Amino acid sequence: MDHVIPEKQIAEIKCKQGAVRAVRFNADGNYCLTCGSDKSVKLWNPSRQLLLKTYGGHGYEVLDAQASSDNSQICSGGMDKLVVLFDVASGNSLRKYRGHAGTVNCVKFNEESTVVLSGSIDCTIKAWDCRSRSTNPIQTMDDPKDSVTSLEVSDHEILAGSADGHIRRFDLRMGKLFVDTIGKSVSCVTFTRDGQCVLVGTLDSTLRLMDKDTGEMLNEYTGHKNKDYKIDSCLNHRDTHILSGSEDGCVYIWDLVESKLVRTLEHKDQPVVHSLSFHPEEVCLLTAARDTMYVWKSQFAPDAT
Amino acid sequence: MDDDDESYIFLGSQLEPYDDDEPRKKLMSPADLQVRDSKGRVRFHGAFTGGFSAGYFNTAGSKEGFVPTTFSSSKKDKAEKIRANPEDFMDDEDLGEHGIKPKSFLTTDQFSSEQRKQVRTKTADALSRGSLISGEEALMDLIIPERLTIGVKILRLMGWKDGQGVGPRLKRKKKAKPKPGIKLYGCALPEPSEDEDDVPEFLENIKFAPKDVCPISFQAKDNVHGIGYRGLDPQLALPSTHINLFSSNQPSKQKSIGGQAFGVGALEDEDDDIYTVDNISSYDITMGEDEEHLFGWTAPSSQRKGQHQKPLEYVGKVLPGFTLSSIPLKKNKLPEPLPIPRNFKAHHKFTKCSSAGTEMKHNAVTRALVLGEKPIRTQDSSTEKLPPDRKENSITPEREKRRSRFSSPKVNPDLTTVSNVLDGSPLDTSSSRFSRTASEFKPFLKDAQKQERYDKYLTLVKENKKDAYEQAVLASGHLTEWEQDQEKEEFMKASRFYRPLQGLMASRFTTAKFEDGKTVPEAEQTVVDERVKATEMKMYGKLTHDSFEWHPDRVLCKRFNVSDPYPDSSLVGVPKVKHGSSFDYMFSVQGIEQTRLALPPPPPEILKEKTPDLPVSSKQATESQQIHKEHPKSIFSSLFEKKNENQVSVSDKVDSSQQNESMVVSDVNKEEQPTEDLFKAIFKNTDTEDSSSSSDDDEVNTDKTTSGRPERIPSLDRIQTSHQEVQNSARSMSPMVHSGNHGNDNERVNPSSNTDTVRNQAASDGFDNMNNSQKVTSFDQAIDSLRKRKHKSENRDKHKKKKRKKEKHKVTKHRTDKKKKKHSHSQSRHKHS
Repeated sequence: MDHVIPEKQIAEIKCKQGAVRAVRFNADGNYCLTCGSDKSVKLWNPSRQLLLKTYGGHGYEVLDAQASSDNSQICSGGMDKLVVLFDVASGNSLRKYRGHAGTVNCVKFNEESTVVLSGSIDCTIKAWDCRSRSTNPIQTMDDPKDSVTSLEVSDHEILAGSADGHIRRFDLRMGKLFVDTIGKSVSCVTFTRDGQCVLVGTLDSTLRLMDKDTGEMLNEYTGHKNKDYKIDSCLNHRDTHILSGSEDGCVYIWDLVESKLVRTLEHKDQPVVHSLSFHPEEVCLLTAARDTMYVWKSQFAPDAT
Repeated sequence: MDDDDESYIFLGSQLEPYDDDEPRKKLMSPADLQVRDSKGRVRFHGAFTGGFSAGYFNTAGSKEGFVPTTFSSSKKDKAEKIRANPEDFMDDEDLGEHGIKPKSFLTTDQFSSEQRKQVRTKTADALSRGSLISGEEALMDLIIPERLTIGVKILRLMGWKDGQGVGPRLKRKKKAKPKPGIKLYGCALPEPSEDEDDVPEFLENIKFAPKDVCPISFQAKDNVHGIGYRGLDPQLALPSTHINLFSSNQPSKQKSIGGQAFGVGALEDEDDDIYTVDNISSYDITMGEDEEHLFGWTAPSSQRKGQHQKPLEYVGKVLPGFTLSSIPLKKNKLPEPLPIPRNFKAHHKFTKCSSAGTEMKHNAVTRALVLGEKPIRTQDSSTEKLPPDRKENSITPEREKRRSRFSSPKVNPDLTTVSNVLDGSPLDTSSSRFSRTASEFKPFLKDAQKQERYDKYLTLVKENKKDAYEQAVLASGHLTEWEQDQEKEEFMKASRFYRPLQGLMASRFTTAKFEDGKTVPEAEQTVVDERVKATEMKMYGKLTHDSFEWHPDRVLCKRFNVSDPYPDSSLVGVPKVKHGSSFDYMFSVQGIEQTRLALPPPPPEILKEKTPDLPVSSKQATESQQIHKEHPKSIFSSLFEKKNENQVSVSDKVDSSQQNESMVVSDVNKEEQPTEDLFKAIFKNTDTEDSSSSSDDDEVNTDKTTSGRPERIPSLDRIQTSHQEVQNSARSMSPMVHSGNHGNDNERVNPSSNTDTVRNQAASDGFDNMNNSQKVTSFDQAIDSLRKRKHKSENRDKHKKKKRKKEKHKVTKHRTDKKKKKHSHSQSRHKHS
């Protein structure tokens, strides 16, 4: 059982880009991106702790980034209200989408990486076309009543968590908007890997596993602390465990079915672990706290050289 | 074979016997053929092998090519003056038979037969003009040209002599005159000439060669001039040499050198001589015809013998090649003119227009219809876009009841213009995607019957009925005439004013459902509360799960590889009008906030500041609070109230929306503190990124805000400046509407104040620029923190005097801090941006 839990700290990487606002694996898990408060996005090889490239172009702190499915582009959003599309190889910014009235909290590519979706503090989700040269968003979803804190995109759905205590799921195939009232400000939403459920983290230090179609709550996970910050939560690569950062410097890991706390991963001298990302196929977890990125692997994994 | 040779005649040279074994010779393509000169030398080379006639063998006599002679002169051997002739630069080819300067004897062109013919015609001309025979020309004939064309040679061999016609010899015979009965069609035959008519008898048996006939050259007419047109010959009209007008009109034979100094290129026309001298000879001074235009046309001239003179009535020249017909054309018979009636008067008198009744007085619409213009969509016609289901939804029986409960007789339609103004849209903009229709705006909600009449009126107006109001009233019909008049005007105004909000604003505002000043019935809150309650009880499911129709953009569907769920609809987003959505949310947030109260209490220092009993010391804040308590629904109620007073003036100025706006904005300006407070709260928010984490800095900041208000707070004057800015400010306001509203119930302690403590800790840790996490940001928090700050500043005012000296020092300190902060990325920025 323990081999699916990344409980061994393999590496601790000082990112040297101010506070690390987010850490994200790429689509195949070979690389990762960190977003820094020094306006930069950095591309890493986490297994070898190698910095590959730094992407500059933002005017202010970068809050979220994602690599495209073909690894050729990176989209990022930040406090400069911009959504920027970077070319991975050259490091140039291909597009800068201006349109949000406030900080961009989260960005996501769609499955084919043809559209960038961005959620902002201005209560909107905007869809930007990477294919056309247009600088206007394809569509603006202004249904949220408060800051959009988290986005998730599947092949035909856009899931958005908002500080107004609702999660909204825009189903393009059905042409419907599903609104689930959670009641508390949502800090993180994640689809399970089977796409049937939604993991919702809220500011009342609770994670909820919601059924996507009916809106019923399937399970509840507590124990961690999340009251102020936008703390990420995620599932492991096989949907067996649920992981979340916490405001006490730990990563909490629960069993999905039994909702039992399995383990906590302590980060030394760190007050808050706010961002984390799980490898899509292997037992490997990336966490970010302050200016440091941590790599966690299974306890049987060899030490990093 | 020998026998055969005798019996056959061979023409040409025999082909070589064909040998099968021999490989066939390849046919050379024309490109491969080489051009060789008479000596068998290759004359043309490829561009890369020397070009034309290049190389040692062709031109220059040496391997090195052409070597110019070097100039050398000495005392002994003076250099000769070398004069190069053209021949020096010519090679033997140029000097050969076909070259530029042939050396062998040849017949010059002058003596070739063709040339001679021209000479002959020339002399003939000279003779006809009666000039002296120039000896030169006469002698010309004596010289027999060396070369004759082969045709001439053959003809001569056959017995032809110059000047004769070609053909067998003929007897001169009398030509039979055409019988008078036979009609001839087509061109008139040439009239038999007189000398042909009477041949002397002794010549009857002698055969004569046929007459030489000069060929008639029929020139194809390839221009668009009239038949026989000739352009003015400048040489005739404008001779280049001076001629005495009174001298004989025979041009002098003396040749003079004239013309231009430089040659005229082949493709250029000679310039006209501008120094012209008129010559009388160039004018036609004779009345008759001149014969010069015959040009060898052998058809007898019409003038001969004067037999067929030009008919007198014919004026003008007869074209060359034509003769005048002897038979005059019959005149076309014209029908006789119609007899003019006796009573006909040449002048027409216009009768007065009798169709005065049919004349229409056009208004803009009918005129546009007549002219076929597209009718301008007015707000009235926008009702037709209303989907039927929404019409039904808009008036549910419950609401109807409620409406009647709060009905009041007096309704002011002009109120809603404020919403237009806030929207910033000019009155006549066409409806956008997000626009709502006019009928969704129920100005007479409080009087259900009146609203009904108004709706009916709208539909009738939409149908372009003139007496729309009368018909609308007819149904209900219990109003006095005076009332009807009043109401009619009201409806007209209302239909003109009630326009949908557009864009972002549309989703942020809603029309008031209740009259201002009334308490909102509790029932309104219950729906939202239920959801929150359900979440509290963890009863997620049906209660908390809502679904709406949502129209994704066509392009978005394409990018997601999903077929458009609503292929026919051009709508994007959630089609359902968000009736009071933001307000619904407000209540829901209230619910949330109440639940938030259950969270662990914030640190004591913040509690001190935010004790529920402690009133916000700012006078402005209390005022705004009161107002919000009174009118919990509409934050613009104060605006509306003002509008009531200004009703007349506004309605007068409805024509120009711009004016209207400025009116309202000025009203806003006149507004008392509450509104300003609201604006301030909103605008201040944008400035809060300056607010620093340390409490000392905070002090300075707030001091700054109070003392230097004009720069710090975007003043209302700024709003007034332009229409655009009003829109912008409204936009920036929009997401705050709810937070501004629920933020004023001060008895609530906002847990978000925790953030301050965290921030302070961070600052005290000296880890300011390395804030490690990202806040969940919400506007309520932002507003709350604002309020806190204001509160702080009020408290601080008391100690101001004490601290003044200290602060001065701090201001400078703060500035340096600020500079640092620009580089650092403080959490507060993150939070407030």
